[in-house]
Amino acid sequence: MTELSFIHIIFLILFGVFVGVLGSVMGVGGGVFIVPFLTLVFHIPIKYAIAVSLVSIIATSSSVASVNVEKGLANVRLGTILEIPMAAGSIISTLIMMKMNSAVLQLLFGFMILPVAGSMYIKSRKERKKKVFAPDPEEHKNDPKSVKYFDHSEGREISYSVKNIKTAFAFSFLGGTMSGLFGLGGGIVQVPVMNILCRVPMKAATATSNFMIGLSACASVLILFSEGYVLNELAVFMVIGVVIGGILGMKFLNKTKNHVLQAIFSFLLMIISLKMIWSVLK
Amino acid sequence: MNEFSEKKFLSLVSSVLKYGVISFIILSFLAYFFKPISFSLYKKLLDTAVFILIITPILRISMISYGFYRLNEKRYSFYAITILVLLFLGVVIK
Repeated sequence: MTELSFIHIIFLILFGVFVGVLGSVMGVGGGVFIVPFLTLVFHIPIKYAIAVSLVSIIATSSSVASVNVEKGLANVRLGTILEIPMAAGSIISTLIMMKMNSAVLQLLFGFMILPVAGSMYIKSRKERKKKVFAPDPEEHKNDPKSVKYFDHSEGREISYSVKNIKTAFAFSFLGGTMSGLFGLGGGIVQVPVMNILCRVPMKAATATSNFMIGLSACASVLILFSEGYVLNELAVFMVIGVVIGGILGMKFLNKTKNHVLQAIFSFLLMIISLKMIWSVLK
Repeated sequence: MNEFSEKKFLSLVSSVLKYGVISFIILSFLAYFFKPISFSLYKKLLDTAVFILIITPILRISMISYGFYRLNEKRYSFYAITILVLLFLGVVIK
């Protein structure tokens, strides 16, 4: 790739800010936007775009998890267990991805983000109805194995017990596969698995998933970096934008009506998906 | 008395992540500053910035392994080492 001009750098940073804001507002990793943007706008081969996306996932995961780990919101024990299959899935899928035909990969990516868009739309409906698993604060209070964290928005301590770890272990492999194959974080699999299956409250499930996706991205990037797939210049400026966007999103957009944004961007993702598929098939 | 508390452990893990990202950002800005002066230095600084960011989760999992060992939760320490072995195997068998 040729050297980036000043305009390119500004454009990359601004897009990174946009992705970072979206990520923190809607709880999605940047991958679903970064890979199509680099592929369709910058005409970067999809495997290189996936590598850049994974580098940005490491940055966002590390910066957000540094806060959530200290607060006790991310469940480090659960995260460490589920990171084993996630890392394995990530490594295997990266090895497969490197051998795949780029057009087939782009086509698969296009089809893959359709359910992501669908789940984002469903999430926007759920957010309106507020129907997610929320533990009874008294239920696990005296359980010595329960996990506790302080919820500042509710002003009370939340206790919960983790269930069904074995099943979640299998699903985490799938989460890792999405990371290595498509450059997505895998949170789209991990968050519902931990919330619905493991009975982890939504906030803790999101924080734990965010903590984990940095490692699965790292497992893929290590391989891609050693094979020369990481375009450092492109990655650096994109990541700076994503980190700035993440901070802005957390600071200023907490009060935004997330369900409206989620519904809008689920449609945007559907358009991106069709564009990715069309650019291969035309 | 075991002075290595869970709070200290989580604070260490958090610091590893935080300083990984901060080092990446500082090196990236330094690289951009040096771009008109020396392009080779610019490239080297960018490479170092990305490398530091990539190894941040590895340092984090190493810290987790050490922390759980100190907390006498050897089972979790073993899980963390398993992850490190997987990461190593991934690079070796590619």
